[in-house]
Amino acid sequence: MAILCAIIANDLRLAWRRGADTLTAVGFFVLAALLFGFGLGGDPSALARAAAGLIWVTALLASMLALERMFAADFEDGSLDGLMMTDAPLELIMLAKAAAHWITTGLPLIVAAPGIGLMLNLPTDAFAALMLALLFGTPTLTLIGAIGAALTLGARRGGVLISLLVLPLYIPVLIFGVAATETALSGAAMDARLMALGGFFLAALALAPFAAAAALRQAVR
Amino acid sequence: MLNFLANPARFMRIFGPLLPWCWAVAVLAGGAGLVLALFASPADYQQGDSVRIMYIHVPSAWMALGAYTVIAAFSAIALVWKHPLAHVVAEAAAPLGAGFTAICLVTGMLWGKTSWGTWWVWDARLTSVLVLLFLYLGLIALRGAFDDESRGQRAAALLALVGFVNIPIIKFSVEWWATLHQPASVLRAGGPAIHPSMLWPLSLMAVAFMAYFAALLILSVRTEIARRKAEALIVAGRRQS
Amino acid sequence: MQTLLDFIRLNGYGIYVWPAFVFAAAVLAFMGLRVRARLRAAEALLTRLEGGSR
Repeated sequence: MAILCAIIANDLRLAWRRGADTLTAVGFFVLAALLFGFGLGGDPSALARAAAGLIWVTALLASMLALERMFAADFEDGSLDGLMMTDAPLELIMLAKAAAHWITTGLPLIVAAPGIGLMLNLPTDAFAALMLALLFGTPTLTLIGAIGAALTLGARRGGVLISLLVLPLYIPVLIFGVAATETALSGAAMDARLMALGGFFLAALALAPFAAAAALRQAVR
Repeated sequence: MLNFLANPARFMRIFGPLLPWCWAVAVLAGGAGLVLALFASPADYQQGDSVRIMYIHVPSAWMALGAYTVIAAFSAIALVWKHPLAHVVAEAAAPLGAGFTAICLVTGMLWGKTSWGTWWVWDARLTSVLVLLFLYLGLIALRGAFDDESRGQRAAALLALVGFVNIPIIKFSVEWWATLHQPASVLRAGGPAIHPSMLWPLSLMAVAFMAYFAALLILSVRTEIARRKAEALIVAGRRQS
Repeated sequence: MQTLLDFIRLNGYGIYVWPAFVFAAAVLAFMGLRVRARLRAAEALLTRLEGGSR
């Protein structure tokens, strides 16, 4: 347990010092929203209708950007081997790394979401639904991304490859995330979509650490 | 039994003679299927002659799912029992599966244009089959992304297993969600709900596709065996000189 | 001749049906040719190596 807290604390400290990952993810999110705003701003109602989808797609892309570096730094300086030799199960270590990664890249997206929503004319009724859906969705994306990051450790063109690999598993989160955000507008029950998102999160929480750990073991053999 | 087949020579002794049979079945079933599909089967009551696309679209869909299942099965065998030829089969099947998925999507788009009036719709069935295509492409890309060949094989095998969750989603998507795509008419709980005059060409084309797939797989394994022998000779030659 | 043209038109559906069959045939042929080309290359390399060492 102590090891896991140490891992999270260490990763957070490194991320705080470097700041690059958080800035990349949030910066991309804001930039993309700005561009969409400029591009579609001429027709405010069209922008409003598309806002939920646009926000989710940019959130997805933003979280894909930082995936490559989840394990890369540890892999390069050898601390990954050290981690794998500790008593803690590799699956829990995966969970800790994913948690740290989410805090630095997923959580800032959720914080930035209302601002993005304002920029894209998202009706304010949907803000709560958006934040809630992102709260369930972004950790799921991070967990799935951990599998992709572990599979592609040391690969050529790892960044693009990760995106291709996690895309199939990201799509359900995207579909239900947008649906959950938009139900607040249409008046339909938000609960069903949010429950689906919650279900994905729990499934990812249970399965992704095992897949990522298996991938990591293959990587460093 | 798995270890029995690990020896490449033995593998070819068993599967080599199957090859001409695969070709024969592919040609005969395919020929008969095409004749029935294009000439001797009835046009549909509502869709007219466009239903003939079904005789390509449906078997290719079955192959797209089947090929991925083969890849997943052999990936599991490769990772768990470390059978040396299992990775080879998984690797050979990926481009074939991608090809069948592409055929399924394109023929489906052509058929959809006539029967639904639209080339594409983002419903569960079409989206998940498109996702399947990306899974195949991801498998091929991942396998080739490493300098160390065995690392690429192991990573691709893991990806195949992780992505297998998409297969039941594709199969049951037309039942779980309201979609434009029609529900299952053949592989369903109550048995085929389709007339024999259509079931025959459908089954013949499916058998032909399967035999073709098997033939190409056997040839691919043979290629890999030859490649490994060549590599061994090169290494031995280098050692001598 | 007219029946052949009618057959190709397939009651107006021909423009969809034939491209479907042709595309499928092209992809299947491509798959087969690719496999055959790799097999030939591998076996040619092998015979060359085996022939040379004798």
